[in-house]
Amino acid sequence: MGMRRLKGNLINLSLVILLSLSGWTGIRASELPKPASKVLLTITGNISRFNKDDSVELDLAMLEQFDQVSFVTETPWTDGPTRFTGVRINQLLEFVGARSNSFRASALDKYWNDLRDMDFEKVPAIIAYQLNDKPMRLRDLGPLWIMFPFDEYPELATEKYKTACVWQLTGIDVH
Amino acid sequence: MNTARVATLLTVFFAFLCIIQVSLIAQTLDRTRAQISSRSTGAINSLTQIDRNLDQLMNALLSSRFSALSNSAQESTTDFQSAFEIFWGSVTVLNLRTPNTMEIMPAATSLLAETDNYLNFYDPLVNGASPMSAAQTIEMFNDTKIISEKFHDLGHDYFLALSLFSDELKDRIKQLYQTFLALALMVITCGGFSLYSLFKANRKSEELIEKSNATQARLTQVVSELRSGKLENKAKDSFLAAASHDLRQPLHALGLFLGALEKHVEPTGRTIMQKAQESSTALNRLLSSLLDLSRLDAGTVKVQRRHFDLGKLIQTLRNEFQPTASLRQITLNFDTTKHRVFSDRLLIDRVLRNLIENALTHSRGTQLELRTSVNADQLYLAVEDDGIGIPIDKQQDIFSEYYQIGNPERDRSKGLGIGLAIVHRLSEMLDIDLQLYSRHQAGCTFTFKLPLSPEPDTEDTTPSQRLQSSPSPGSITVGVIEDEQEVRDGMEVMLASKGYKTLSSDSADRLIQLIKQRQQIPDVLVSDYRLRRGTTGDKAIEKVLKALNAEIPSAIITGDTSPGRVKELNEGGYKLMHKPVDPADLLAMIDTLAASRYRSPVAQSQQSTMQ
Repeated sequence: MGMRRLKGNLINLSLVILLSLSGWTGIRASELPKPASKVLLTITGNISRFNKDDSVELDLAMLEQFDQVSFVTETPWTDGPTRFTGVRINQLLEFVGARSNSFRASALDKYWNDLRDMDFEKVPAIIAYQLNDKPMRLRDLGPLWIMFPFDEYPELATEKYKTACVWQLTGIDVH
Repeated sequence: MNTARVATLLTVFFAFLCIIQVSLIAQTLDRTRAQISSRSTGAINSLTQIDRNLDQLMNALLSSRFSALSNSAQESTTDFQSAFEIFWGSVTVLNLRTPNTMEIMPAATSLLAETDNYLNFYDPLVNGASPMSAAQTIEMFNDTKIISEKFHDLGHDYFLALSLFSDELKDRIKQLYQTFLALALMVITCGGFSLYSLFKANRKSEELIEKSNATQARLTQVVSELRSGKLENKAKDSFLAAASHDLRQPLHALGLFLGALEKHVEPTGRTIMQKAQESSTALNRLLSSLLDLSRLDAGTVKVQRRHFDLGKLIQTLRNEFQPTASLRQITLNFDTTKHRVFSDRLLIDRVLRNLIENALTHSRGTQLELRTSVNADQLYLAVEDDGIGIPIDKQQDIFSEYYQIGNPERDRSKGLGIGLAIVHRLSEMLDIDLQLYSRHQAGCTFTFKLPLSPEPDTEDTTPSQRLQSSPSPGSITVGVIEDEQEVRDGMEVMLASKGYKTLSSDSADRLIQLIKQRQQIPDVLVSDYRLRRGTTGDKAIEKVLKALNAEIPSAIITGDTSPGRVKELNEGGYKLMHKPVDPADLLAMIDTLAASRYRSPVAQSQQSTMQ
């Protein structure tokens, strides 16, 4: 674990050096593509890649570019087994060059939740953009919803992870 | 015993209580878990969100009105549309929770139904193509306000219910704690009682084990005694010793009297006289065999192997048994053999004698054969009759003492049934591999084998040979110590009738006196073993010899057949005769003793000195 974290830190450090070098060359902000349609998610904070100022804005098309992950689970907020489809959080964090695994997820209804030092390699949490293979409306608690595969990992069925299931997700602020 | 039972009862009682207690605790815990999960924090969050979302919606509605007034309708419309959607979402979540929270939020169902109506009513207006009119907006604002207040009240109810539940939980935990303490106490008490019972039982079982070990040891001892026949032998020995002593005395006297009477009987009474003598002899023989057995039991009989002429022995036996055989109409076919064998002549003689006697008495056949055959260095002997035989299932029994086939009425004239028992024991001592072959109604054959002897006869000269050089009865004086008048008289009469001189008395002292009076030293001393005042024959004889300062060959007559006594006297070096003594045997003994005195007085005196 320690080794892995050290290794991660080294990679991050090398990224920082690389990015600061690239910053000099003035290609800093143009690195990531910009969203073409309505922004659904804004990632801010301790990240190393950007597409608008100090943040990364993502629309549905951009999210759909990532590997699509899908699982079926029951939740306290849905009726019966439900299929969630979306992108792995660790993939997203990697994409934005996040320097830690702790972040605050906030929602449209002003709800927020902090997750600290999550091992998203191990815990296959996703940011879902489809519920039962359909895009989610606001009244369906969409358009984005952080979700854990509770059925496959019963040990995740605790208040800690339940409170982390932020629906109507709009922002992630990496610590 | 009683305390243990009480302890057991208490243990069971407390164990029962414990079970009830545990089940109560489990039940309470389960109920509490269900209650806690139904009063989850999720519901609170849901209500808070709804409350805030409604506020947002109302704000959005208000600002939409203001925007409409300031001509910036488009943005604010989007605002309250999204606020409406967000509120919808939070209501959906609460809807899913209601079944769980019904218990504490009874008002929730009706409120949710109302909200559902509200949502469905305003959905087409909010998301409609045209913006809502001012009146519609105000109406929606008012409706939203009513619902908002109701949700606020619901939240308040929930808060109060949770507060009460918190108290209930505290009470219940206290109760559970007390129950747990009581349970712990019971478990400890229960364990204490169990341990007590266990120790008690343990101690008891240890005692039991000890007892059973002791019992087992005793049983083992008794069983081994039974198996070895020790008990039986003990009883038998004491019986034999007692019985034979009592029997011997009168028999002994009877024999002596009959011997003395012989001369005085008229020829007409001779036959009766003879029969009386025969009966007496038969009785003697029975007692003798009893004595033999008792001697064998005591181990006083030692095997003394010598080389001897078997043919001679067979010849003697044939001569001896011929009259009896003729009487019973049995033909004797005895082989003659020139072979010599290496064994104990006397014991072999006894074995053959008993086998022959047995066949003559019990076989009811017409033929009796004694055959010999030689194989390598062994000589095989077979005693075969053609009588009724012995059934296979009885063949083991016939070697036991007092066993007789076909004589359940125990006819004494046929003997005591100890002949074969003696044979059996002797065969074991001599190691001659005695075998019995017999079938019912087909006669029986006893065989045994003897090692052949290549060497010449080293046998001692027999007493009868020595007797030939003995002095005549008239020159022999016999000193008799016998405390019983009857027997002493009998002895005196019998010896006198055969021409011996006697000096008889009832004690050593009297005899010494008598000898001194008569100035006559006896050539032979004969004493009864058991004398008055606890004196014994050997002591009496010693006393006489000491007083006379002479060496006189002596014999002791005893009625005591106990093996121990026999052994003792044998070791003392005395010639021993057992009551009832056959007059002929007594005379022979006297002659032998007298002859030994005459022949080698020096040797005798030396031998005595050595003693």
